[in-house]
Amino acid sequence: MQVNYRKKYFIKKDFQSRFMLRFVVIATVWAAAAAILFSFLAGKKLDDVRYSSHIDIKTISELLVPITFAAQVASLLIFAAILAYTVNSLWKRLSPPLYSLKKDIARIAGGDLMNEVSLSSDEEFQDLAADLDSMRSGLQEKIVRLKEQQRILSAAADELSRSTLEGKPSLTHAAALQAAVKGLKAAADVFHY
Amino acid sequence: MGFTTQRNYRLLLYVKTFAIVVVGAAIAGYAVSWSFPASFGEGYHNALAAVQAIRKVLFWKIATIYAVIGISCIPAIAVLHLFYSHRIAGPVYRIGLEAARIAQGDLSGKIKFRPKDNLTDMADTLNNVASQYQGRIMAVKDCLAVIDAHSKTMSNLMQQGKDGAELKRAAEEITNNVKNIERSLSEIRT
Repeated sequence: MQVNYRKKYFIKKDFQSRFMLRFVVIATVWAAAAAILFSFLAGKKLDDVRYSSHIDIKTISELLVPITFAAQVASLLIFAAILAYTVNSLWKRLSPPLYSLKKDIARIAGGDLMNEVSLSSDEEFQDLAADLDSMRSGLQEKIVRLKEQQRILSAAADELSRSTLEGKPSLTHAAALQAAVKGLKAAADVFHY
Repeated sequence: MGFTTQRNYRLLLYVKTFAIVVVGAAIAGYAVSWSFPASFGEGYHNALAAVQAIRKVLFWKIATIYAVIGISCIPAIAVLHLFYSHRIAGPVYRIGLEAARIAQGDLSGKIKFRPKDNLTDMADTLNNVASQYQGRIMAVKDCLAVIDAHSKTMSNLMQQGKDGAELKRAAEEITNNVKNIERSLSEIRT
């Protein structure tokens, strides 16, 4: 039974792990930074209260709510900026290899099977580049075989045409042509659609 | 320079990640307020004692609360980004599978994506590879069918001992179709 892999969400483990890890790390850094900022501001405020001769705060809320608000706003603003940078840098990392691969596919569609599909070793999507290069080499191998058979067919057709024009058509040449047709047909039949 | 993404993919990724952290921050703020006694008590000495008690445990309480909130947010962020990364990884996987099919000679070019998937332009380009090569192979096969038919006709005419205009016409047709095949294949640089 064929498994529908699209139901799996963790399909490209390396890429997806790195993708998730970036955001998990910045969220963790935010939590740590917010805790440190909060305890610093709250500690400072408590020290001010402790060393003042007059305590005019009646409830904990009066003391902590403004600090909580200030610490959260400051930490969230920093987080927003870091998140924007992370999303942007992620895009800068993903875009060039995908753009390059798209151009390579378009080149293959245009009939160029000579140049390899490859990415720099530090770029993402190495496995996709390898798959696309296998596609290119698979097509190249089949087309080379087709071209070889086409050359045999051309030679057989030339022979038959020449002998016919000379008024000496030969069944041997006709048989050679039919054999060449069969050969080319077999080479073309490896493609299906 | 870029790649096709679902509309607002980056913005949604940003907003949803930020929303999870904002919710975490709100819960943390509430938890901090809730974790300390509501009032300082009556009188200067009681208030001072309360302040000193809070000061003593302040850092560890806040650190614990943020650690718990952080640990709770991480799975939510991981799941969100698993889905968002899958919208790139899924199409990449499908494109890889389709490339393997084309390498095996399957030129049906049936790659179709879900509405929220990215890289639709790359999938279209890959489908174009399949259709371009399909067109060339179909042209080769059509020409071959004509050549095959004419070569059989020529064999029959030769067996009947005929060597006139019909043979020359068939030979000409064969030559033309062989040239067509040559032209179709020469467009592909190997």
